[in-house]
Formats: sequence, structure tokens, C-alpha cells
Amino acid sequence: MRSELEVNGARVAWEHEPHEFLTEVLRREGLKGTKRGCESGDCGACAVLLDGEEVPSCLVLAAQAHGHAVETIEGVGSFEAPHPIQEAFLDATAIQCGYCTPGMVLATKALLAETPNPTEADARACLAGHLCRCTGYVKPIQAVLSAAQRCQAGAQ
Amino acid sequence: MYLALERYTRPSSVAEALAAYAGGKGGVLLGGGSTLNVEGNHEEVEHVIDLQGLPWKQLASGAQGVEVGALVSLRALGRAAAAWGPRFAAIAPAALAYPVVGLLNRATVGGRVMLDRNDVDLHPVLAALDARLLVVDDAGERALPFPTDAAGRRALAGCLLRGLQLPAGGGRSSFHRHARIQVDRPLCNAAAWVEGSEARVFAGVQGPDAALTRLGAVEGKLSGWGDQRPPDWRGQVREAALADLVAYEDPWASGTYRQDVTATLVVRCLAEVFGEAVSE
Repeated sequence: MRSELEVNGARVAWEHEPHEFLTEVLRREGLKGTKRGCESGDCGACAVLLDGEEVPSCLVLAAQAHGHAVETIEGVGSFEAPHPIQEAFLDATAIQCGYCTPGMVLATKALLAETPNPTEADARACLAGHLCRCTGYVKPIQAVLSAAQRCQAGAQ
Repeated sequence: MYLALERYTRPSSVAEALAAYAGGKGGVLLGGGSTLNVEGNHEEVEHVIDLQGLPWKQLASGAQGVEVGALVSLRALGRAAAAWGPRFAAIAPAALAYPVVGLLNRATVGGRVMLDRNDVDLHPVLAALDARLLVVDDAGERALPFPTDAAGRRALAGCLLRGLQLPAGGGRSSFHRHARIQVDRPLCNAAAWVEGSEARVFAGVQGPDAALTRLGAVEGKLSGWGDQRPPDWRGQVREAALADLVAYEDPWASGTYRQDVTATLVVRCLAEVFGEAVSE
């Protein structure tokens, strides 16, 4: 079957099977920053933004995304021009293996779009569904708060 | 991955959805999809009917009460319910009980209501608030009471859930749950609504099927007391709750543990409703 959607600002039309989830199709199309994890919506590694809302792409059939806008980590920034949120994660050393980082960055982007001045409680709630097995959570929470300051400074 | 899915349908009208569903024989209904790849019994699903094209996302509160569309996300419900006043105070903590933003964005009210299980945190709340389910089938639309037993669940077979209605009124409600960790299904939960001498108190996860347990002895105590509850009301409610609850044991909790914790949750719900400290 064929689904037409917007991915990182570009309109695409992808062929896929009815049973395929968005994670698989995104990765097959080269967007491998979306990680495979638990495949049950619990770990956050596959998070993308669907119409601006954070969702686990392992629970979204690719067909469900037809007609919607998807943002993956590739749409947030690049090695050459990282997004302030990505810089905040780097500077806070909130990354070790990096497997959970795309999901955390996208979750942070969704949070800051709704809540530009998050509290620590907001940051913790934002990362609640994102499991990290190496860095832990103290530095990612610091990174979320730092990202908010950077984004606000950038907006001024 | 795990699905045998061969067909995906996205109806754009209720008539199309009813035709595709064919009274439950046509395929599996899909709200957000938060349980599609998780529930083991969906591995053999061959056809899903995605309801996202239907206009069932309303969230309206007014003099008649509250109407919630079946496709409203749990996150949207939890956020909206926080402003609906003390009668509906139990809704937000139940809707947001599993605090993973991505899942809360995908899980729908309709999907949760139709789950044939008794460990869904919204269920005792909707029962305590006397919710009505707005269902559609080939015979038209009608309202059904929120199902608290197997017979009520059977009445939903073959229907599409358009939304639910929560009647207006006074009083206050409360919800409490207990789980091994926060991001887990509850080992037990309880919800209560009280207004003067009227009360509705329900508990979940008290047996192997989807039935909820109504705590009639606790409601009787509250009805007898009205606004004049005795100083030792906690002890009396606890005793009544223990009489109402069976010691249901499963691999995750012993019967007496679950019974004891559920009684504690009921006391906590009522303390919150009465405006008292939840823990003594």
C-alpha cells in the first residue's frame, strides 16, 4: 500500500505493507536516527513527532501516518548545524552510547514547544518514557533545562 | 513484526465504519493503536479499521455534564479534566496514571474503555461517575451504562463507541492506584464519588475477568452517615471495604495483600473527597 505524508518538511509517498510500523518504514527510507527498542511503546528509543506530538513510532502503523506530518531526529539538526537542544545534550554530557538520545531530543522539542520555561518536574515528566541504560537521568534532565534557556536566548 | 495484518481501512464516515466492522466480524477497531502491538491476542489480526477519520474528538463540558469523544487522547482528557471541578477530580489522575507522554498521546479514551480488562485505571472512575457510553451500530445510536460486569461488556459487542457522557452534578470524586512501579499496570485501584449521603465506590483488579467490584458495604456506611461521619470513619470504612472485597490472588499479588491495599486505597479516596489528609 502507499502512504503520502510529510517527513521533516518534505512531502513523500512511501510504499509499505499494511502490517509495517512507522519505525520500520522510516529506517528503511534511510532515517536511521529513529531507533528500534522495546517495540511496545515503553522505552522511547523510537520516538518521533507526529503533527508535533511525541509518539512511539513502534506503535504507529505506517498507514496511520498517511496525511500527517512526521519529524524525526534528522529534521531537528545536523552534525554541521546542531539544534540548541542537541548542543545542550552534548554540553551536559547527557550522551554516552547515544541510543536513547534521538528520542530524548524529540521529546524535549515537543516539551519546549508547549512549555518554553519547564520546571524540573516538567523535564522529569518529559523523559519519563525514555529509558537510558548508561548515562542515567540526572544529566538528561539538566540538558532539558539548559535547552530551554538556549532556545529562549536564541529566540530573543 | 508480530502482526499478520493484511488489510488496513480508514473509513471517513460512520456508515463506512459500520460496513467495514460488520458487527465485529470485519476486523479490529483501531483508535490510536497503543495496544495493537502489545496485547498478545492481536498477533492474528488480519484487518484493522482505523477510526481516525471519524469526527469523534470532541471534549465539551457544560450544564448537561461532560461529553468526551472516543478518539480523544488520554493526555488531552487528563489536561481538560483538571479544569472540570471537584465532581470530575478523579478523571485526570486516572487518565494520566501511566506517565509516558508518547503513550498518553496515542492511547484513546475509546480504546481504553473498550479494553476487556479490569486493570484499566479509567474504568472504576467512569463507573463511579455513572458514565454513559454512546454507541453506534446498524440500529442507530444509543446510550448504555458503563459496563461493570460481563453482561454489560457483552452489550457492547458489535458496536462502535462514539464517546461517553458524564452527567453533571455536585459532589467530589477521587482515584488512587497501586502498582509495583509507576509505569506498570495497577495491582489494584479504586475510585469514589460522594455527594452528601450519595456515594458510588468501585475497585478494579479484583478478579480474573473485566468486572469491577462495587463496594456496597462502604456505600451503605457513607449513606448512613451523610455529612455526619464519625471520628473513626477510616477504621469503619476499612472494615466495610474488607467485607466487600474478595481476596483475589494472581501471579503478581497475594489475595490478602491486594485486599488490604485496595481497602487502603478506598480510605485514601474518601479522605481526599472529605478534604482530609490522605494518610494519617
